[in-house]
Amino acid sequence: MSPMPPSLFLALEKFPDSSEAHLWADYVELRCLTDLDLMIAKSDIQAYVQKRKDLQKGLGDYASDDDIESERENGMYAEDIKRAARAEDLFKHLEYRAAVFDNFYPFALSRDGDILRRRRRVTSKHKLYVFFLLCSNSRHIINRQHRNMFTDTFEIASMVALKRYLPKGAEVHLFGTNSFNKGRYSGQLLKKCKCLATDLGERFVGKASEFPPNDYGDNGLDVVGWMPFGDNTKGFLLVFGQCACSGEEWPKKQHSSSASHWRNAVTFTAPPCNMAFIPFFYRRNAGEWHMERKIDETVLIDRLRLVKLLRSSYKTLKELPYGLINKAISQRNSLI
Amino acid sequence: MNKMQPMAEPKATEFVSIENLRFDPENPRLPSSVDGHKEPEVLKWMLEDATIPELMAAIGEQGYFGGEPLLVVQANKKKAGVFRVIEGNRRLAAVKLLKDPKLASTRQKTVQQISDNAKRKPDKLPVLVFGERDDILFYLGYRHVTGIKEWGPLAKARYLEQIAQKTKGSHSKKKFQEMARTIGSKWDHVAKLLTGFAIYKQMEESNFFEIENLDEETIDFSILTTALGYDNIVAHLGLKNATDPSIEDISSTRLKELTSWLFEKDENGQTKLGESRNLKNLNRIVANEAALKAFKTGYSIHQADLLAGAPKEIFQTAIRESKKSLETARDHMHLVEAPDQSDADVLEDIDKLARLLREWIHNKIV
Repeated sequence: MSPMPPSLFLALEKFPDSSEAHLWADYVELRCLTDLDLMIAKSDIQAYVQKRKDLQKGLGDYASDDDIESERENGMYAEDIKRAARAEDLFKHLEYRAAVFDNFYPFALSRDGDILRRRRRVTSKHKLYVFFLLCSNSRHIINRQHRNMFTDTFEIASMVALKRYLPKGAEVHLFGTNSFNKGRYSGQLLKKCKCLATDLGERFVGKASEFPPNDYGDNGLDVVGWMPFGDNTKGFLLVFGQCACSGEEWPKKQHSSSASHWRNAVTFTAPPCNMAFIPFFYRRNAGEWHMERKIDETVLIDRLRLVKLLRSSYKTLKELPYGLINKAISQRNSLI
Repeated sequence: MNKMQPMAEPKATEFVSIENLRFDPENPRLPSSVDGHKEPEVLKWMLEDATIPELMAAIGEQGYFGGEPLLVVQANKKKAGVFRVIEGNRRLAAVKLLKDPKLASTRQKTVQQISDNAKRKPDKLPVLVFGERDDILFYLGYRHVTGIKEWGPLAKARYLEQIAQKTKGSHSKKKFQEMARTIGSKWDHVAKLLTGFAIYKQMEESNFFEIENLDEETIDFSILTTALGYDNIVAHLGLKNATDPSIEDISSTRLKELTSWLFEKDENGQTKLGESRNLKNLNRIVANEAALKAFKTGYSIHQADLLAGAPKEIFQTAIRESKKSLETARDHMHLVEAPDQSDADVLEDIDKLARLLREWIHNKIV
């Protein structure tokens, strides 16, 4: 395979590492977003499956043991039917996205559901969707600085979403190590933690040795929000959240902002509610969580919840990297 | 033709100008909504559903491989020199588009780019001329069922139906075995595909039970044939097995019901089945009275499946996964320098839960 010209923004040669349908649906959308004719057909997906051994392996994982057994028994004839069924599932997943994202969805399916087409005119609502799509797939973004831009601004989008979720009057701040964070909780970790403890009316209980002066990290906390009573007493609704743009990593990271993790730094009169913000569409076709058992004592805010929360305030998100989003939208890849 | 016959000897390979080559209107790959006599319609369908651009790029780069002639018959007995391509319709489409990219009514930019970059654009293609379409028909199956570019499941079923009609005798294992040998598959799979096609035709005759937006174009035949791999679903339809295409005993009420579960979409474009892998849940549901009743009254497939005895499965999976997770923790504990009190609290909770579950099992067993 020839190397990508440096002017390109996205490199899409690599298929998703996993066979999970929501990751594949993202990949199909990215191919469609940048296709020369702004379209991708179900038959293209079946052709990928047929040609690429790595993809066949992925779909083997996706298949149940029964499926694999039946393929062994019936040879290629049966395999082909399974492949068609899997491509069908993938396009059904896209159909669900088209329905729930409505006018934020920059793609449309043909009447027979066999072709995904990108809308020619990409509106600012569509760009919000493309933003989350790119945050979820930053591994395809060639330039590292560009990748960082998406992960940093994703924290801002998450902060605004949290603001929309909490009642009016709630305090919401960035806590993460982020090039955009010039706010109340920026700089040295020790200073940030002490400031947060004071704001919450709690005490900082961390060991100084564990918060060295050269630590400018965030201890796994990216956004924080609370709903004060205004009576100068402690104990109120408190949300600790972390943002994760890596599909594989987020379940492991989801406790980095939990009370059990933070209890070593700050006292809690009442434990914070733990939230994880992910740009992925972590759903199955009918809207249920993709894998509920991976969500552990966490309020998960995925792409669908984010778009719902930001439905009326997406225009205020001036920090989103619109220049880079436009680059992705104007890139054209040949199908071949 | 009354029985399986070897391919009749064709005339020697000759080269024919692509203008004198026509698509086969009876190509099993074409859905009935596409008029096979109209070249623009065939080309549009091919471009959207038959991955033509890749083939164009390959021919444009390497040229047309002379060792693979198109298999053709004379298009019109009265007009010599014009042929209908029975085998090689994709290749014909690719070459026509390479030569004249303006023929593309979809994927125009892709087609134009490939044509612009092509090193070779053949004007003539090698063909083998046969007397009758039937002379080539049996060979077609072998090529497209086991060949490089396979037909989709519905095209295969349509082809098998054509073959079955031309093969002597009523449906029997022997007949299916004979057909299976031709296409390099197994007899029961041939029978299952024909059964699926018979059911599909019954759906079609019933106008797809008036389900909104369900027709030949939107239906997914692969889901139907996959469903026939599940014994309880087959029995639920009133069939003894999935290998009898006569489908004499099929219950039309239940077929209507199954069609609705598999294909009728709600406002979010989702069917009651959801993903194809949920067929195994449906297979459990239809065999369980309580689960089936619940499913019919609006329970989701997963909710209804719980009533079909799946809780035991969930319970067993959950405790085995917990054990696995604890083993991972044990294997990593030597690497953890400073475990804290919160970890001890979690382990205490695990201990309490494990005791509770063990006590419950003990009481059940005793």
